[in-house]
Amino acid sequence: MSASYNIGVDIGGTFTDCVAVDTDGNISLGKAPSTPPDFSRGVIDAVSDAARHVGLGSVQELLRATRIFFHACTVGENTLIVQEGAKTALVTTKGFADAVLMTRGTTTIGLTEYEGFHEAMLRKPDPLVPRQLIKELTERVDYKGAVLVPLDIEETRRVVAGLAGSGVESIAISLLWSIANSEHEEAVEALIRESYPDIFVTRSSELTPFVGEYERGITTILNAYVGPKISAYLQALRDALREKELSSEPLIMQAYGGVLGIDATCKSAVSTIESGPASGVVGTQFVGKLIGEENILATDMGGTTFKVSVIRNGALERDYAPVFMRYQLLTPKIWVESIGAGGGSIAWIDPDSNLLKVGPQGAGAVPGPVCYGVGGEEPTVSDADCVLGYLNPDYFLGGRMHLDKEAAAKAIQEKIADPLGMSLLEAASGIYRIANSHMTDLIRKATVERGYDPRIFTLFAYGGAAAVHAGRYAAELGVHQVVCPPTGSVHGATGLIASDVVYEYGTSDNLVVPADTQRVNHNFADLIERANRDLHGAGFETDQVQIVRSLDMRYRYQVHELNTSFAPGTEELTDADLDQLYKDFDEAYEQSYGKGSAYREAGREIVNFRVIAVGNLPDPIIRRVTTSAGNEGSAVKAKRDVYFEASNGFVETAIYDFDLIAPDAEVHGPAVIESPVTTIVVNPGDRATVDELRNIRLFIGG
Amino acid sequence: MNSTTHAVDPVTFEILSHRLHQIAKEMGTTLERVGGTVNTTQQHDYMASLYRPNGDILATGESMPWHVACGGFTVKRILERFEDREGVNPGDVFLLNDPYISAIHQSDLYMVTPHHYEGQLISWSASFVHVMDIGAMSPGGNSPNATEICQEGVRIPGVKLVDGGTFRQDLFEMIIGMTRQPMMVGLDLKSELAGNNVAKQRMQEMVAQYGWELIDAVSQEMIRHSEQVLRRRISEIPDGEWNAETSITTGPDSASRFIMTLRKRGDTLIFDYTGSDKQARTGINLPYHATFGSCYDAVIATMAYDLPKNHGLFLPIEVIAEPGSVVHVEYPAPVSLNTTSGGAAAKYVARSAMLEMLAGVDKWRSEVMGLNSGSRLVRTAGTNQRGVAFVSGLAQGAVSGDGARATRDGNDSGGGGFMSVPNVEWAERNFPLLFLYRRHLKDGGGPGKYRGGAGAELALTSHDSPEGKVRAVAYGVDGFGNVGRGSAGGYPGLRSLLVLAEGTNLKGQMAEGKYPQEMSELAGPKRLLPYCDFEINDGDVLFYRLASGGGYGDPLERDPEKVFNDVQCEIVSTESAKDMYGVVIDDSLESVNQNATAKLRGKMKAERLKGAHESTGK
Repeated sequence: MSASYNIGVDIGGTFTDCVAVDTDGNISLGKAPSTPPDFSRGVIDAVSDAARHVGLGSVQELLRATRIFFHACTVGENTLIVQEGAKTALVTTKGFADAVLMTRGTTTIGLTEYEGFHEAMLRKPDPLVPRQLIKELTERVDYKGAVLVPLDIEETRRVVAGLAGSGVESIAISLLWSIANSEHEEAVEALIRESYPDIFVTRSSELTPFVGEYERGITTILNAYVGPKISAYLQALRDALREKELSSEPLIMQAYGGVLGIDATCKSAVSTIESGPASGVVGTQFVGKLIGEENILATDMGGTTFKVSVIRNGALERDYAPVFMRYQLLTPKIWVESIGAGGGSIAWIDPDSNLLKVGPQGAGAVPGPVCYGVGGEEPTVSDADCVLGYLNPDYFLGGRMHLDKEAAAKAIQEKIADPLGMSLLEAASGIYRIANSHMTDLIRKATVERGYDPRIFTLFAYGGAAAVHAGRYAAELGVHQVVCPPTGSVHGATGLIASDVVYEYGTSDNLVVPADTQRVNHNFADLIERANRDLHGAGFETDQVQIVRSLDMRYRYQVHELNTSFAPGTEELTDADLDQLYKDFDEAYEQSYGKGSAYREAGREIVNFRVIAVGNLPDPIIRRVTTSAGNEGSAVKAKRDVYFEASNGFVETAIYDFDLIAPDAEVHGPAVIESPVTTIVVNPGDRATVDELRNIRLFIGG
Repeated sequence: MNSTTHAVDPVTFEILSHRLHQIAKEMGTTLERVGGTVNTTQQHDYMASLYRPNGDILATGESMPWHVACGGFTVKRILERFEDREGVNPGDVFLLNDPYISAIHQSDLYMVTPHHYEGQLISWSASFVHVMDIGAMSPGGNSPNATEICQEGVRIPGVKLVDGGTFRQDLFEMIIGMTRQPMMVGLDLKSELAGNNVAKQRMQEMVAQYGWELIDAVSQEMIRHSEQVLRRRISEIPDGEWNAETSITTGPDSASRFIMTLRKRGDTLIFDYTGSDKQARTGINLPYHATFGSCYDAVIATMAYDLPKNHGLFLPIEVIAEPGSVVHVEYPAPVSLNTTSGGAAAKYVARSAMLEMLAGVDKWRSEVMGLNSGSRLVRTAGTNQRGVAFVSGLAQGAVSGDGARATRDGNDSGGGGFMSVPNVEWAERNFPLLFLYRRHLKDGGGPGKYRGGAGAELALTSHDSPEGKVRAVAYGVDGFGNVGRGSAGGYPGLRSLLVLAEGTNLKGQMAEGKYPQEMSELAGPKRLLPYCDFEINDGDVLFYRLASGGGYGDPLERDPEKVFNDVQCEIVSTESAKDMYGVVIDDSLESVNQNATAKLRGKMKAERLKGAHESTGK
């Protein structure tokens, strides 16, 4: 029988990565430049590269043998950055046309604090819909869903006709309190679909039925704005892949960490935004499960940003009110915190204080770090990594790219060392140390804010640059073990092939605890029915399906909402189940927000009902390597001078070839391990081993 | 201050100062998380800072500058009061809210924690949160009818809430028991304890890791650096004097004047409020440290936004305010309304003079912007639709408009900075209210080449209230005498107003499918609300206009297409387009009439010249 494959393709800012795993668990990687605006070419190129590594003659041969094709795309992000979304209109309730322009009033969302204090520069994010295309309808529903003023259908007809006449391609419908009574929104949607079937329609009560007219409105608008582009891209990709003989339906990554078919994705396209970083976290969760690690700090250091996410007791953490490009959204995503501290972050001197600073400005993919030799002139973290001997100029990305070490040294010397009166080494190590301290501070903030002690976690380091720095920020945090997955910079694509099909449903109903159990069951029943319908529609049998119900709750007078889950299943909930959940909520609240933070006497309230429906896809098998491919001695491919903070200078250091390190070998720092997709720095006093899945395990302090 | 500079290498300095800064931020985050109240999380109405052993501010995270300045006095007052008496010992935590000593008004409860390491005082943390009630005459604290401080709630000059590690439960219960919301106030206090403790733990860890000498050297260097840069920036500006003044209503027929002269001398800024009125019998009066904070705020927002906010930024600023005046209150004058009334006025004059000074300097001209004159505010109380008692602010201040910049329009509904506004749905779900609209005010933003940001306006009524009414307090700045200053020939923005229409036929109209959107559509008597307690009964409608920002530059120089766009966006009326901007829009409302516009603008300029000649007698 010929081999069959699961394939994951992840589009990044510079490269499109492909991972192909066969039924025996052999992994092959592929890489190709990303090709905006037509990203599907880059996808096919990356698959083609993987086909070569697998040893197949063509893309067709690989795709013909592919069972499941997973994909994470950045079309949504790209559409927003180049501002080329659909011509979008909003219809809303009379008296509230300005709600999405008002935002929540604040002008500092998504800014650094220094930017936030600079009043003359403050402004709001672009509303994506000009005020002229926001139309009011005469109608009003109250918080209970009671109709106070009925919808004026004739007026609605005129308004919609006017919008269609002005060339609107996409309409967002977001009426006040549609979450309590969606009749008016549904009537508006029906009217548009009937008269103008070509207009893309997004209805807030379907997309994101949660309280808050600003966040619901802007989320609906965002979907309306990027939806047509994403739909067009995914349909073109489906056609391109079919033409190359892929027989199955591609599955598309969502930012909350699961995949959906193309049709389902097109409806809630906003959910693909930031799905790339989500893939990396899902991949981390998957590897963690294989190696028995349940509490993980997932750190991803790429070219422009450093991202951290937390896996606790094996579970991903969701963010139900994320901020993206300064928009405050109501669409679930995996909680990921990030700062501008990547390999491309620029080192500079603050003219006022004469102090060395790193980031948050980055050189991006173009012009990039100086050492890339594609036009960058400002010294970056990668340039420091290069000067300090961590990066091998002749073996960056497995030799795919040559690094110009001299140019990097010159830039640091002239722009940092000379003006500050430092040596080149002091300047380069200063950049390295400051970048590490920023990452340490972010991880500390991220864990502390969630009530966690970073020392109980194992840290995962992936993305091109992470493993150069992870040993240092782990040590600073008191973390004992760092795991560097062998897929390094293409770890996101690994996450894809480990994904399940996941649907998210929710509804808003404000109930005082103790809540009426019947009403709770009734609210969930609607969501479960939709879940079953969608999962069965996607081809899942009942035994492949897992349904988890949860509630967002809060203490009255306090604003923090916290999501707490019931045990998986769909049986009717009993009073005892609810009582248990209330107790779990109390515990989780104090765990998250600190001892004594729960104002129980105020009473609890249920805010939202949520259902997560999972269609289980078989986990890929990853081949375990137990036999020795070499030994420690023979894995050393070279020696070179590398800087280490502990030695405060260069030390002659053994350079290991990742592929030749034996499973039972121990590498003692100082050492550098090089693979085609990443570089791992083992600091003095630390120890590294390779596990059966070819992860490098770094033990801080030996 | 010319302290000895220890040799700290720039990389270590950057790393440790970043870390100290993070500690102050973590304090703030802890306050927000543990307290979880609207005031703290959405109104950003708190302060959380780190101090050197002598009480100098070291790092302040994201706390609002004027709060930081007030907090800058707090630790020193505790030191003065306790050092030679009961002592400042490991495990102590102090509580105070006396406005004559350190707080702005009693609603701000300060918690002050000394940090010791091996018996040595290494640093302090101090925080305050604005609590939901403090036992004053009116629920929520802001008391329009108070004429002396004793009517304004609990006043604490400084007590040890935790004494050598022992929590004083008796004292705690006594204090929260004097408020209308003991549980809520208790939670706020717990959040401060948690925030201060986090900072204490982090500082102790840092000293353990790096040693006290290095931390202290970095701390001194941070302060020295901020001071040095600010002094240098000030000294680059030519010496001079700039004046500003305003007045606000304090009663049915009384008002208080705020007069200020800014003197720039060398590397120092002197804000002199001499000549301002005597303290009022209404609680608009500011303690000296709050007046200092108003000036500090004006400096930070314009020429020090990028500098680490610490004691170093205090040093180049001098504030003169006569004791017994509205800007330096003394016993027994009341203060409970002051943050949003006297505070708005003092900040306004300080900022006006600063901007006037900066407008003459190339380097800083881009910081010049129009201002708004502060907003009215409303607190509501009663029983909600679920039968639960509540006290809460409407918290709409964030959707006032801010001023036009030298290069672009002001932000519509964007005057709040870090503050945010609740969603209408959130308000309607939690309180027995129904909003008829919340929208940008037409013709609110001051006309100019760049238009001032429009404030929001809204109308609301009580809805599903079990008591048939909502009790309320009207406060915030009233009767501002110099509305939303414009710049460089720009016009002022409209000021904030509260109007109550009583006994309207709203319900009847809605039953007929009508949905009133203008005050004129509702019959019934209407009255302007001064500082007062009032009620929103069934059928009453409260109209609430937030302040709009001033314009920048001559409105006759505004691009007619921009004016046309404003008309389409319902921010400017066709009448104002014509009268204020000289822009004539075609009757079809589809384009600018270029010829008529050129003609009208020519005529308006000619009239101005004529007016000028007449006034100079030529």
